[in-house]
Amino acid sequence: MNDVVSFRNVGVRYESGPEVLRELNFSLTRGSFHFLTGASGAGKSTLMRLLYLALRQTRGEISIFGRDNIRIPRDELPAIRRKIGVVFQDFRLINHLSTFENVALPLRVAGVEDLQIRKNVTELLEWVGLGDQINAIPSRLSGGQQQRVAIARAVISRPALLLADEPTGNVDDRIAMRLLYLFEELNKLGTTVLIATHNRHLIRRFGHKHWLLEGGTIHDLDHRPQA
Amino acid sequence: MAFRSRPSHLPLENDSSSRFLPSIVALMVALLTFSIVGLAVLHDTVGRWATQIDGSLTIQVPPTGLSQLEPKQREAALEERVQTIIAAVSGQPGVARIAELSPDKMVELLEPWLGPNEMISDLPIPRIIEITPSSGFDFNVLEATVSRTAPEAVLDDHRIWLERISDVAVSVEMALLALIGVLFAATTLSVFFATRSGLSIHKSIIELLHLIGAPDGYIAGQFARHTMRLAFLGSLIGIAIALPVSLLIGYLGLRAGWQIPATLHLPLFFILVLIVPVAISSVAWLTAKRTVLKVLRRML
Ligand SMILES: Nc1ncnc2c1ncn2[C@@H]1O[C@H](COP(=O)(O)OP(=O)(O)O)[C@@H](O)[C@H]1O
Ligand SMILES: [Mg+2]
Repeated sequence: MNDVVSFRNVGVRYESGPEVLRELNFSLTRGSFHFLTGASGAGKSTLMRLLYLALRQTRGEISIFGRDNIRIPRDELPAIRRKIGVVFQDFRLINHLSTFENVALPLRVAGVEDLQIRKNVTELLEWVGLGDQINAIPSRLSGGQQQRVAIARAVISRPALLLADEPTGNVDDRIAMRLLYLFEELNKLGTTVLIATHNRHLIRRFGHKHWLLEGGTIHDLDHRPQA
Repeated sequence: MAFRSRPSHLPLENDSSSRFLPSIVALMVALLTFSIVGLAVLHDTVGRWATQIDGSLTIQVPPTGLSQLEPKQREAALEERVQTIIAAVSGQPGVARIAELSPDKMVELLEPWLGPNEMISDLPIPRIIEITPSSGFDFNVLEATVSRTAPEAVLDDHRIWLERISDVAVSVEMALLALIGVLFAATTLSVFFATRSGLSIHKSIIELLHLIGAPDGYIAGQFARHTMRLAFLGSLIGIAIALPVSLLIGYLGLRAGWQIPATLHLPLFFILVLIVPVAISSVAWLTAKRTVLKVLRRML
């Protein structure tokens, strides 16, 4: 099958609260690019958590890279997670590590050689406009700069699936465009992309598929404007 | 993306908790080292006393009240006293051997002071009984027996003094040994808690590493290695503080006429000092590893 991810009748509730997500039926085909919008509290981050295997559904079935997420043995999860790049809504940068080391983490964990790490990380940091902040620690960076570090870390290992939770919330439109181009580059290389965003301008400008999360479930707006 | 080679080491050393653990460990190890040095010195001193005690002890039988008698009668009376004491004491438990120091030996011992043989034999000199104690020997029983059978006999009481002091020293030694045990337990506990509180600071990095696909064993291994290095560093600092201070005190002691404790020459002492950093680092390693694995198991 060509689906990177597919959901069948998925529902999620936290503890004994109401169902935050329900009746989710969708799939992400290999190489697809989707925008996901929805009001604050609609469940975008929850959906992302399901996708990066930090949360399990309370009902329904999720298949990821062709595997039933519930049935994957614990020791096989890391290898699957390494195929997924995530831009967390709260960045999750490590404060005592430099920009360089933060971005290098996924490569270190994957056992990439130092020389290769140095080359790739430096190149990417130049690309996202942080070439002069390589040794800075995250707390010294502006919100927008931190966000770009988080994005660089998510894409550094060229993941098969890229998930970004409001990745352009803190940057101006010019930088947001540049970051979106980066995601598009990756997408052209085969990465499946899902971006949660509020930026309607970007959605219109880039014209990818557009899903709306409302009432706990996904509505396909299929916004395909003047491409 | 599979592992192409072994994952590299994470730079974990710059966070704030990295200073906390070594300081605590350094302090505890310094205390521990002082106690070990103290124990070595004390043990050696007690050992020296013990060798003095383990030798024979003596009973002097003076010719008290016999000075009016002729030499021949005097010696006979004295001989009778000696035999009475020997008879009474030899039945006592813990007496391996009891014998009078032979007259020849006495003469030999006294010659430098009193001159040649013929003169000595006429002098009213005390007789000496030598006792070689074995296990079960009780000084108090001996003292009672002697004063009952021959009140004028004198037990050498140097030994009593030594024995009492050495009893105290052995108690102090035991206390010191217990202190070392307690200190070691305290060190282990503080390493345990310092490691755990350090890891609560690290929870976010553990979680992130988990989410970007680092296996549990790798994450736990990284933190264990990091923590072990901090604990080892702390131990070395502690020893580096404690040893020169001990040596300085020892040097001053030597100048004041002490002897170098033999224990300090023993490999055992150095092994003990070396075991401390190794043991503490291992505790740190194990604690970190188990704590991180526990944190990770709670994650999906
Ligand atoms: N860990 C959690 N425990 C309980 N409720 C949660 C938790 N995370 C999110 N929620 C609830 O789930 C709903 C969806 O949240 P979220 O997925 O963060 O929405 P969004 O990202 O679209 O703003 C909200 O009502 C939120 O309060
Ligand atoms: Mg959110």
